[in-house]
Amino acid sequence: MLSIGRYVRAGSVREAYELVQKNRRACVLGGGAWLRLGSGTIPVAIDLAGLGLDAIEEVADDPVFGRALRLGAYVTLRRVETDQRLAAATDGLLARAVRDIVGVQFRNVATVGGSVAGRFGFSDVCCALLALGAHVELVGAGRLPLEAFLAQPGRVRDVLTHVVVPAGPVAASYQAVRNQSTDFPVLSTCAVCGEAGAWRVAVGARPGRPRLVTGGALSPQPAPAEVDAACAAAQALPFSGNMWASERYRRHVAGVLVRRAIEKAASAAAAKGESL
Amino acid sequence: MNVTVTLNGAPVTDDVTPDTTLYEFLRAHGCKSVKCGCETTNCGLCTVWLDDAPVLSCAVLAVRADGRSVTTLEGLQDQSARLARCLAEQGAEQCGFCSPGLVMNVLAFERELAGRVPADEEIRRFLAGNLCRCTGYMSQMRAIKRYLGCPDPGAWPGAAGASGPAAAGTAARPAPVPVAPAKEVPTHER
Repeated sequence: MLSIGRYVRAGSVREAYELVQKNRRACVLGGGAWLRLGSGTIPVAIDLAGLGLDAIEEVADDPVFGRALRLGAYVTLRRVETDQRLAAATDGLLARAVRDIVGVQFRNVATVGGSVAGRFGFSDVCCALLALGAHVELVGAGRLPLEAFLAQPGRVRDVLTHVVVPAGPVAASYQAVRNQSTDFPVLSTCAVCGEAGAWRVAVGARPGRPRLVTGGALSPQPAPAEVDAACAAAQALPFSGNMWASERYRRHVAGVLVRRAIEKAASAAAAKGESL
Repeated sequence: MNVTVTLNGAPVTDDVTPDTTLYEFLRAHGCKSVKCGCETTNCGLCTVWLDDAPVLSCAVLAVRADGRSVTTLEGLQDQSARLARCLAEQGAEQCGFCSPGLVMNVLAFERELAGRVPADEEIRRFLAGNLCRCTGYMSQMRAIKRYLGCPDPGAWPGAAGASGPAAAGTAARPAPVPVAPAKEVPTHER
């Protein structure tokens, strides 16, 4: 278990940011779900509880997305799983992505902010949000696409306050393989078909941070050759092995899961028809 | 740091270090139903309610419970008695170590259902974070389904709990299935 030197309940996100800038080893607490698995000492643990970051707001005039849902960093994964507005905006994608994370009691503790700020490679949340094209709001760096945030090297020195999710309509599918049903994913994939048939496909638990599959374009109802090309592009991403699976296995499974995700999302898009 | 928690309805104040977990705090205040079974934040044995939501107390810092309400099985003796009898009657107790965490989560699930009869898959998903080292899942499932008033297709026609008009997932919950008085109510402290 990590030990904590000093606990500070921040009066504002700006105060939290200044504390992080003053002390390189200061740490902003997320849900704290993995704290006991760490070791060493956090000299200053900063809590953002009480700052209203546990709400999901509907935004009608987001400068990038227009309609959006703005999730505070302290929104729990269980709330993400059960919120009907998020379900409607993401074709149930976020609920599907988080439902195998340990158990309800864990998801009542773990937060969106902790999952995203940690930039964990195994994060089902990051993989799904990346495919949805979400943005993050940080005290310090301002607003960034999640893709750019995940690609940043080094330790995060900004304070994540919100995650902004475009409010659809989309057709989506999340596909993951786990060695045991509530374990970390061996590999996760997510395909989202948005308005005007724009696709975003993400691969996570490579085991590195989730990455978007780039390359050939996919039609709203992709031809077999387009799906083959997307699978090949997914398999060309960097993979490696760890105690959950080998690099070779992950690379193979990535092709299978990306195909399933695209096909299921395409079916959902066809069923939605004009409403998408 | 001084922390004040409303524990099972009564205020409790203590001086804790910042890294004290809620699990440690509760054990120190006599709540021995709360156990640590895995050391990896996975097993569900330490489940308590924090402001009525089931949480893993080993994953919550005690300082974060300051000013909030915490409920453990010690505070739910009456509410849990019928579920405990269902578990005992179905042989779902076995070693009993995981029972307090399971009971806390089933009672939280029951409240969330608000009288609705759940489907089997819904029960499995809600309780996926409660591990049983005796792997007594079949007997637990029977007991929980009986407790929640789910139809039991395997029951003898006419027997209590046999398939009735209730359709899982949609119907309102029927009246509780009568459960025979237990010879011994399982203890939560083992």
